[in-house]
Amino acid sequence: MEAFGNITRIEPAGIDGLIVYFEHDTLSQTNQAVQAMKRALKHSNPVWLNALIPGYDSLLVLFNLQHADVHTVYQALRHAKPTGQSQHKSEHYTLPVWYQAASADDFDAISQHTGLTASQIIEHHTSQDFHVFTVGFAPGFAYMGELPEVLSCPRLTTPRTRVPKGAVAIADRQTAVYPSDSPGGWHLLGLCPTALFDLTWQQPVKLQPGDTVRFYAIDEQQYKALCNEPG
Amino acid sequence: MSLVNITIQDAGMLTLVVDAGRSLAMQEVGFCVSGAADIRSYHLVNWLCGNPRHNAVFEVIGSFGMQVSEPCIVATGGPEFTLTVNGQPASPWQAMALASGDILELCPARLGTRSYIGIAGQWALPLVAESQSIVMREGAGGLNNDGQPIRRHDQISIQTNDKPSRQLRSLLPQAIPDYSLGTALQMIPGYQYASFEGWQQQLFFSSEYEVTNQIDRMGYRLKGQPIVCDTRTMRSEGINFGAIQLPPDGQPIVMLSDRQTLGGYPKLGCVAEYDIYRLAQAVPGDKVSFAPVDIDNARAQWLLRHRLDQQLFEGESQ
Repeated sequence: MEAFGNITRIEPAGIDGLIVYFEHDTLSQTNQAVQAMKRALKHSNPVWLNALIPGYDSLLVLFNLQHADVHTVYQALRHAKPTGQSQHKSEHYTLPVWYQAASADDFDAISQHTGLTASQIIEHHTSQDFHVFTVGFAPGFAYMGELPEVLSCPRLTTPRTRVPKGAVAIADRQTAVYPSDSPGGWHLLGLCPTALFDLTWQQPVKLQPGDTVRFYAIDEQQYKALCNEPG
Repeated sequence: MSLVNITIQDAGMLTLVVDAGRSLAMQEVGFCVSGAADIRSYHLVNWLCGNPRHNAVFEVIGSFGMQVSEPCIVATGGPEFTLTVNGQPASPWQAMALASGDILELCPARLGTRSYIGIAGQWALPLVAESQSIVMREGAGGLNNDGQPIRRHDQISIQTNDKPSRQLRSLLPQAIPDYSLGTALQMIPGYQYASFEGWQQQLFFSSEYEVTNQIDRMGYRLKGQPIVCDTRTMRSEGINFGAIQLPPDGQPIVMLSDRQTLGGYPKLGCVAEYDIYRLAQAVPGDKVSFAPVDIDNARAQWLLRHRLDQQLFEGESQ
């Protein structure tokens, strides 16, 4: 299937899926193109549309096999007008982090990789707004970036079987907060007391693509106090 | 309406509640789809019970036993197992009327296969993203909505219909699923397929892979000829059912019902949806191979299968 505009490739992704890859000057712009296409398709809401799963630079379109084939989906992509602004008003969140909390502290390994001291690591992690590129892997897990190159760390060689809820983590030029206990392969910086995911909320996931996040440092006492606060 | 209490007497190695899966759109915020691993056997067992298409059933690895408190309709299916009711042999793939106090027991011929036990009626279990499936990894679903599997002595209430009893359904022998792995699993090349060199693609299709013991509802790790991909830097992207991931060690992982929604390994393509049930019923040591099928051809085969199912499911109206 022929690429067009800032779409570089369109590939089959299973019997009922097409994955569309985008490219722009920067990752933020690429991701905005992904989100814009997602909104455009969602807005036109064709009868065959099952789900739209955005990645960093891709959009997986799942369709109902009884109502469409890949050619139908391709035509819809060609005719989509991905210009509109998001209905979802982007939110800005400030999230507290108890850096180097005992259960989530990979500072030694991170220092070894980057040559940064503990205070430099915290400084780099708290001195810029991060952009939420996409949400996935686990409910409410928001992929944020981009970290400064100097803080870039590879994933663990062997993933951990359990990372605690609230763990703040980094991998490559990404950062995230684990919304619940889960396996994980990222390096850990500390713990965030803010709940990001709750099945009982009307919208169970707090961080959405397009939102921005700034982290700030707190100590153990503040962490404990914030954990006890309702909501 | 009347209420049946199911008491679990034997939960085997793993007993879960599954249905047709969650709303696909919930993947957009990170919820896995879940649902029955062998979706084919699931739909048949559910139909035998006379349930709607998205009803809860038990998905069991290993042996299973339950006692029912009131009369109810049950049906079972899956790869070969022995089945008894109150110790007397009974047949899979047909609906049975159980009486108060009856005990149903099941034991698979090969350890590791998944057996499905359906009970007519509405199960009193919480819904997450429009599904009653238990997702252990997410801590969702189940009796306490904490993702815990079903255990011995657990009790589940089921609201049954007191409609006049219709004829008990059974499956014709030719409609029973063929789980054999003798023919290759059909696979739709896609995702990063073009980034693999031609001879690596050929090597993949001409090799046989063994099912390892690292298999669960998230994915099946296979072992065999390593397949190398030049793509090293890849950004996380959406993973569809049956996607074949190639991590750096070159050993394929086929992603199943409880797969994560996003992942960053290169992928060769996806096993066609209509063939995934055979892999989901494979056990460690089984051998599988793959054959390419083009996406239009795959859809045509899916539609044909779907029409045959419709005839089966709608042929007998109540």
